[in-house]
Amino acid sequence: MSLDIPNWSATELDLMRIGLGLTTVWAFMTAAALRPDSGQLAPVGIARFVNIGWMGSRQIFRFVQFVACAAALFFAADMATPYAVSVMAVAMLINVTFVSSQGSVNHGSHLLLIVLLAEASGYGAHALFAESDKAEETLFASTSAATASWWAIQAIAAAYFASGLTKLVNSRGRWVQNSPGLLMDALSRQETWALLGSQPPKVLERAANVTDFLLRHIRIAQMLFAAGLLIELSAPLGLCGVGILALVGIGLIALHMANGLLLGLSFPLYQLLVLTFYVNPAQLWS
Amino acid sequence: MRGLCGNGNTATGGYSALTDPTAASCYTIDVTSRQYRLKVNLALAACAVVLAIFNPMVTVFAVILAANLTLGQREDVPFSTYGMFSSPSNRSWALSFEDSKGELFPIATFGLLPSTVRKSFSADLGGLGDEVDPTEHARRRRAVAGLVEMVEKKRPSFGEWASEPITIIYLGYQLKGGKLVTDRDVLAVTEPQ
Repeated sequence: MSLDIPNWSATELDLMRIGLGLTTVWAFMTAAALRPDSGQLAPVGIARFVNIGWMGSRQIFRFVQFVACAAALFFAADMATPYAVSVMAVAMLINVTFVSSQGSVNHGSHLLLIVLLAEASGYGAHALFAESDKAEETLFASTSAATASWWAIQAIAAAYFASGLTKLVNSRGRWVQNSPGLLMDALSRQETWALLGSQPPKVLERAANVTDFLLRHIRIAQMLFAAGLLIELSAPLGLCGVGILALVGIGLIALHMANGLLLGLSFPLYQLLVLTFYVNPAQLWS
Repeated sequence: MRGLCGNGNTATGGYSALTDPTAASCYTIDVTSRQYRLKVNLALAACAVVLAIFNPMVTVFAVILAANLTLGQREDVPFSTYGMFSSPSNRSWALSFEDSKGELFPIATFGLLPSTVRKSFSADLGGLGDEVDPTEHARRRRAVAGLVEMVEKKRPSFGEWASEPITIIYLGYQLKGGKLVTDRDVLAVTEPQ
């Protein structure tokens, strides 16, 4: 186990780049085109300083969507890569900020945004500082693509670790003990699914069965939730080598799938990013 | 806030045992927790910065972690503490809608999302003063008036739902001594005026 930047092959880096590009395209294509016209009800992030209420316009959103998708395809094709990822990051920042400034924050694209910002910063910093005498060797890999990927991996680790820490801090260390309370949320969410008709009856039935089983076996529920917390907190261990990175990645994807089953929150973008940067099928096959 | 544990995401202020005498068995956080969280998160962010100084290799990790724990407390995009489900409560609730046959009524067909009606009801309930209606049931019945109005405003003037009475039900879930206790409280039956 060592804290060295992994020596990725060109194929592995290609896969990470293509994966990020296509994930971004998917994120923009599935983003809601129907925009709230109420401006910024509760500004967060840059919206506190800059009015981005114009993102409520459907035409402007369509334009941003087109530009971001074009940039993502350029990025995936390794054309004008640093510029393309910067455009993707700015477009995603504006969209996520606008959506989250409507009174309730939507975390669905947060990880993608932070990864895009880390990648853009990685490319930029590598171009500016990697060759200078003062460059801190450990910050930069041999190529800009490797630096950007390394920074993206650190960004993902920071997000999951922050999530795990928050659970410990907000519950004053009693999160695992209190975790069966999440089953109460599962019950109210399942009621909401039924009202919306948003899930097939089989999915609803399976979720209800799992919740029911866990309610009858509180200790098992606590163990499962504890395992989930442990997986989140172990995200930084992935920085110690590609093998551990893949293991942590598989654990994180399993965590999201379990959340999807129980709470209907599978966060597909998060899963795709973890699959791309942590599991990276190319590094598993090499 | 009184009488409701919320849905587990109490990071920005939720259920407090100090204001609800029925909450003896609730897993709770106290009212000073926001300050507590701020202090702990600042300390953790400082640790992250120290980590970056001693090991520059993980600078990006440390900087983003520190930003998440500080700027993320106000959900300043792209930073977040990801506080969802960080304070599990042993109570939760949902609103349900039924037609005259007792079948689930698809409220979304009126253009009303469950999240919208939940927020509206929750806000109306929170808006009631502490001095009125000592029982939770009575408080809920008072708070549902706004929701009834909302449903009737959205009711189509023709079609199968034009004259169908809609029953609004509060479903409470509580984990008490390791057992699930449910509370089904019929709040109102709304009919076209």
